Amino acid sequence: MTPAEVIMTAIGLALFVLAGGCYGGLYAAAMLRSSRRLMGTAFASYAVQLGLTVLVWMYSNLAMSWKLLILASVLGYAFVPVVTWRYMHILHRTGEQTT
Amino acid sequence: MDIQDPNFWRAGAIGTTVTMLVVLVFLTIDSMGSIRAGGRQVPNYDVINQHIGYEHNWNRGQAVPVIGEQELLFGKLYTLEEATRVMETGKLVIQTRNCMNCHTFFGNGAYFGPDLTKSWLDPAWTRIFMPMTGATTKEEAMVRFLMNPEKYPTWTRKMPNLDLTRSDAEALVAYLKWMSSIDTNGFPAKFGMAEPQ
Amino acid sequence: MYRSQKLALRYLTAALLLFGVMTAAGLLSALYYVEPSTLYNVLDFSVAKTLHIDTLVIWLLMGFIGSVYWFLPQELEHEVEGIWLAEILFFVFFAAVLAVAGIFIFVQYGTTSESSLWLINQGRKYVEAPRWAAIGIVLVVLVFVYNVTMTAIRARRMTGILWVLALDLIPLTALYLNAFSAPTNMSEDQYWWWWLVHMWVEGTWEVLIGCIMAWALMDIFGTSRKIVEAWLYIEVMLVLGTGILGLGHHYFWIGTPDYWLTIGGVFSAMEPLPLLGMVVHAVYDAGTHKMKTTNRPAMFWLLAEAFGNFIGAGMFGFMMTLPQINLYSHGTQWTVSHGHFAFWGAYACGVIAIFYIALQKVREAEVLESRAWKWSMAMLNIGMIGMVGGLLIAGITQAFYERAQGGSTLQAFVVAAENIWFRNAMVFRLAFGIVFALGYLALVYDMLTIGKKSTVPAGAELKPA
Repeated sequence: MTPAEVIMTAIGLALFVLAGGCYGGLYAAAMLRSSRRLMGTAFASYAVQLGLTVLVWMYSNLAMSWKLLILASVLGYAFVPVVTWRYMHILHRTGEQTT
Repeated sequence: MDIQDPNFWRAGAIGTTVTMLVVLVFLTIDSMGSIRAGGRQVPNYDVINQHIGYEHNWNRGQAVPVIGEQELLFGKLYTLEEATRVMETGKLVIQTRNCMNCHTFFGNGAYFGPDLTKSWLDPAWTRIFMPMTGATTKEEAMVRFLMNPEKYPTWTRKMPNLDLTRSDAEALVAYLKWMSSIDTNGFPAKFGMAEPQ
Repeated sequence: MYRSQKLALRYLTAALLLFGVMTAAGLLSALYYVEPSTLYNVLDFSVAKTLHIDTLVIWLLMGFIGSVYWFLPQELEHEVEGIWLAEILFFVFFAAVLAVAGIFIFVQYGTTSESSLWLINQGRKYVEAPRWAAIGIVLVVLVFVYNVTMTAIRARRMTGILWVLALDLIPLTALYLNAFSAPTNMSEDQYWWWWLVHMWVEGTWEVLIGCIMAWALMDIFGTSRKIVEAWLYIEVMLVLGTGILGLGHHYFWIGTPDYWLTIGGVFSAMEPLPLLGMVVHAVYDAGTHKMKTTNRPAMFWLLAEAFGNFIGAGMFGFMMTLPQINLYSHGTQWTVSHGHFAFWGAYACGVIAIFYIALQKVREAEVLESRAWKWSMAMLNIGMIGMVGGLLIAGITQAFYERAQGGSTLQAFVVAAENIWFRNAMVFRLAFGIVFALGYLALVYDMLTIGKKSTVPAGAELKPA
């Protein structure tokens, strides 16, 4: 990779994780407040993350294996907040009943 | 299977941890074959008797050390046993002088001074330090610098004087020569291959 | 209050003090980059840096040990067994820390001999402490292990959290034994050294703070045991599941086989995912309790921990971890940037939360509230973000000019370090380091005053937000 490509790819990956984090945090906040507006921003963050995946895929010189890994992890980012939230919810509902 | 039951996750935690540890143990056994002196990627200590280069390998797509013809260090041919003893001293110098808290080895350490992984191959020794110290060989220039770093400053960040004896400094130079022969999967990239700026 | 909790307070106080020493040594280390001739041949960079990172390890460790001594008797409703031994060893520990700091500052280094390793400095990053002191650390940890297990046995009670803690202390102690080793071969040295450093920081410490956080959640939110235990097990599974082989990202360039490039890359890419789960968890917990807590400082520091861990370890880690990028970013200020943010998010914020939890009980404050905690929290976090921002810019400059373009020679190193971006970034870092230090002073002030009735400002929001 050229020096500029190294830097741009790294910044792309940082924003990729950041967008995923925003999605997770906002998703949780939206569920908490049952706010459709917050949920909209959460999905927008995830759309940004998808966009960054496309950008990294198209413009970076990362090896194909790493691009596939990024693609796989963007799916992980989609599910982790949803699964965690549901699980926390179930756990708290039953956990607080039994204690 | 009840995912609300902590015991389910306890089993998961134990299972995952044990699996990962077993994999790590196997990888470690294999890695030891690479990193012992004389292993697949780390030459034995008597490699200091030979010329060491660093060239781009097109098959691997990265720079690799190239061990060449005989090239004596301090005009001496070391037996394996002698070389090992020198390396023991060299490593002891590195630890007792806390080198790793200014410099890096394989990129690990502190970042106030330059990385020493391939320092032996640094063109600065012949271009700058040999004329500066009046030495006729690279290794002699390195020894003179290491023993009296404050006499040969090249930059605002100066190396302190760490009270090295001549034999300390020679052992350290030998250690750096050996380290430069290690196959580090191409790190640092293009060392000494870029055009001087 | 149990005797063990009094000991805990001593440990937490010592941790707070050493946090200050770490900050001061860090400021000095930052100064050398701006003014390189500072204390040349008197107290050089390596001394300040060693003090900075060793006090980091020790203050966090003391914070962890203190936290466990705090929660353990509460958990088992039983005084800690052998507490007198732990009390004696606290003083031994603290005296040894002072002695080692004195040796680092005044003796600095010895001659080329084994005895220097025993008496002065071992010269291996993070475990520089001479061997006599390392023996002391092993003793302290062994007594700590004895306290935890014997108390559980005597109380005839073993909770899930305690099982995790007790099992975690075995590798935590065993790994530290690497601190005595001094192999000639640098590749072998670093291979095992990373077992210690990585498996502490991204393994056993994570589990340890997980246990402490589990207790903290029960304490400040009254979350049920079943919930925190299930969550703790999941966390252990995910953290160790990704973290153990995540070790691979340290084995890219040390002479190890190239399959580590794949293993390290894959597992590091997975490492942010459990941290994302923790962010969701934190929002859930804070939200479902509608932020109703009597200890807002502790709650906000716990939230800072979840977010800081995700950004510091997750985002800053992933951006530089793929081998194609790491080849250039490794061993530059970029690493320093990630290191600062990750330690801050993963550990420091959590330990500060524990300070506040303990203080609430000590001051017998129904509601723990002040103005100073907000100031200190803001300054510490802004200072930290400013520092890691500066270091990131400096690191990117190095990766570009020194590594990718210049080929990492001495000349390339100097070219990058003289670059205007690098130099300004280092001034920026120092400036924000000062903000951080002021935040520390505000924290100390707050610790001394919060919860004492007269200092609660009239009109302060005692109601939950």
